[in-house]
Amino acid sequence: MRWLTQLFWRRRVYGHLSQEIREHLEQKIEELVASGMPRKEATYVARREFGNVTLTEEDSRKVWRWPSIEEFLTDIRFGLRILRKNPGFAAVAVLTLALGIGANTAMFSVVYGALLSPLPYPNSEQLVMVWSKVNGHRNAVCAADFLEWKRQNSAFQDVVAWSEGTFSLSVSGNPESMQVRIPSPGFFNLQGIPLALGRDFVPEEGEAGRNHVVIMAHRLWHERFGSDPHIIGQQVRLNAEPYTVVGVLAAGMPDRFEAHLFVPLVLRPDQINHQFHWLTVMGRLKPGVTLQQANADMEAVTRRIAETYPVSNKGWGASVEPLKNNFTSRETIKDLWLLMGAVGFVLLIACVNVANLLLARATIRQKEVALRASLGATRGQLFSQFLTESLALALVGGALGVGLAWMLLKAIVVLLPQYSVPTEADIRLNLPVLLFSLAATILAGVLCGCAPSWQISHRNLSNALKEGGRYASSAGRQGLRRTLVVLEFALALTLLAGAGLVIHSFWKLTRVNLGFREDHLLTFSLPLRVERFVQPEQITIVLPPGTRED
Amino acid sequence: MKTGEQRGLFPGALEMMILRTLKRQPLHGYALAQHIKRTSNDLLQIEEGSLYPALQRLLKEELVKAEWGISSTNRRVRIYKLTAAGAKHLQHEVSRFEKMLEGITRVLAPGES
Repeated sequence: MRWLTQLFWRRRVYGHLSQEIREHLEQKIEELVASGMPRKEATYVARREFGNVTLTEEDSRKVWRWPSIEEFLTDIRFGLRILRKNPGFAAVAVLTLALGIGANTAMFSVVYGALLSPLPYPNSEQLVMVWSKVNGHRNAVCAADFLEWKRQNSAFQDVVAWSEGTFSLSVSGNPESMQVRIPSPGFFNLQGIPLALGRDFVPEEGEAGRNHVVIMAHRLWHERFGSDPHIIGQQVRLNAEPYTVVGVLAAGMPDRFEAHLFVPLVLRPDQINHQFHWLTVMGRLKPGVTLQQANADMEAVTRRIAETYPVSNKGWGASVEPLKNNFTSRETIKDLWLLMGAVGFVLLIACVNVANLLLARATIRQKEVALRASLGATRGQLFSQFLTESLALALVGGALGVGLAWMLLKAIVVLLPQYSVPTEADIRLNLPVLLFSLAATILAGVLCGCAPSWQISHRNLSNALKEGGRYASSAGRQGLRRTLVVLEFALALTLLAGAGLVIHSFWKLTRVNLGFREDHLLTFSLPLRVERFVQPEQITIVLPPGTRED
Repeated sequence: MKTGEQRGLFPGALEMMILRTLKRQPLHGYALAQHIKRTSNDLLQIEEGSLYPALQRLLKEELVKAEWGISSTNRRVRIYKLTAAGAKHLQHEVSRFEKMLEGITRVLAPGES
């Protein structure tokens, strides 16, 4: 508690100090006057023998402080005051930095959400994809292999398989074509996706005849069923057949899946073979099992299968891979980092720009600096004060930048092409992103403040005073400013060249000759039940007016 | 002089002299400065102001304590007093300093080597 009392006592301590020093000087003056010295001279002598009063007080106070933090805060306050005095300069600098920091924050949100953040599953590091592997390439899995894997492996808590399909969902007579995921029972339990209502599929529902059950995503339940709390046990029509609703997923991440409807996977006897590879397989590793151990285990399993079914399975192995980024192509990862680099360049350019502005302003503040130095400010103090000013600038810019990023993200999430980032990716401003922004802000403040601060604090001060307010600019500063301009141009040109190349390849892509006229052409697919439409003549396509069937 | 170091006084020297002076009798800042100046024959050329940061450090370490009082010239002054901890610290510092001084003196002494 000592520090707390100190905090309260400090103001009193400071008061005592000033009073004490005043008394000291007065006593000295009195004594000198008493010895016959004129008062004016006595005052002068007393002060000279005492030394720098302000500095003495400051040094004495410093004893009671947590020095760096309090000085930093004082400097920040001072910096903000200076900024308020120069609104034009402040606005330009702050907006420049806000653009840079905003772009970086927005881009980092995407990179973080898509590539860096842990997947939003419990113990997500245990989740792995298991692919068939032939000639070093991964492949989908055949049903017979999947069943063998499930039975023989010793590395997984469980493995599930799924396929995808398109079903027609009818709610009160309005059919809608829906993408449906068809997982083997246990899929949601394995991933650890919670259900808001009902339950996961049970194993028996993976058998023909028992499989007319459905689980839906929260969003679909909300949008198509009005969040009906009694939906469990009700029937919906999928492909004109009744399915019983057994579960509704919790809101959140599953709403970002492509499929919002789930029906259980049934492996018919004719589908259980070693030839037809059509399933996607995911597993959850047992606690403590590493990827290497799982791969070794699966190698043993697949070797045994290949010995039993040499005709179909010779050369087929398996590859256990982390789920994280398993569906993000190398290209996408590279592109995302490239974009991150590009916005990094934008921030650098912003920094150089602001550094130049600060340098220009330093010319105007020459006298102020000289005055401070002659009053006893050390170079270190001058340097840190000016650096803190640019930090204050960056902090304001950073706050604005985060706001800008928030708006940018709203657009990015809409514009982001489908499948370019994992469906689990939650792209928004969260704590890690904000920490990144803070780091970028501090970096920006230091970057744009360093050169000017160093310049200011290391100038020949007597010259500045002698020049008496004429804004002379020394050759050194001119040189620094020129260097900064060159740097800025180099950065901007690099960025421009990169952007130009991307636009050029995009332009070339749009001019690839496809061998037919692609304008005014539409393509679409219509999911039909083969059972109901046996003869092609049964199908009539009604085209909107103005459309021609070729 | 801003701090002891800049005049070649080693760190802690000023504090040691203050403690030693206060051991004789409690004093206020001005009297303390005059006493150190006088007894050192002005050889140390201490700026009077530099006492105050040193006094604050001693206050913070609770080696001295201060009370407002009235000086002989009828002024309101802050009178500094040595605490028990201060006395102990002084003893320790002085013996350390004497050892150091002896070492330095031996090295500097002519004739040997």
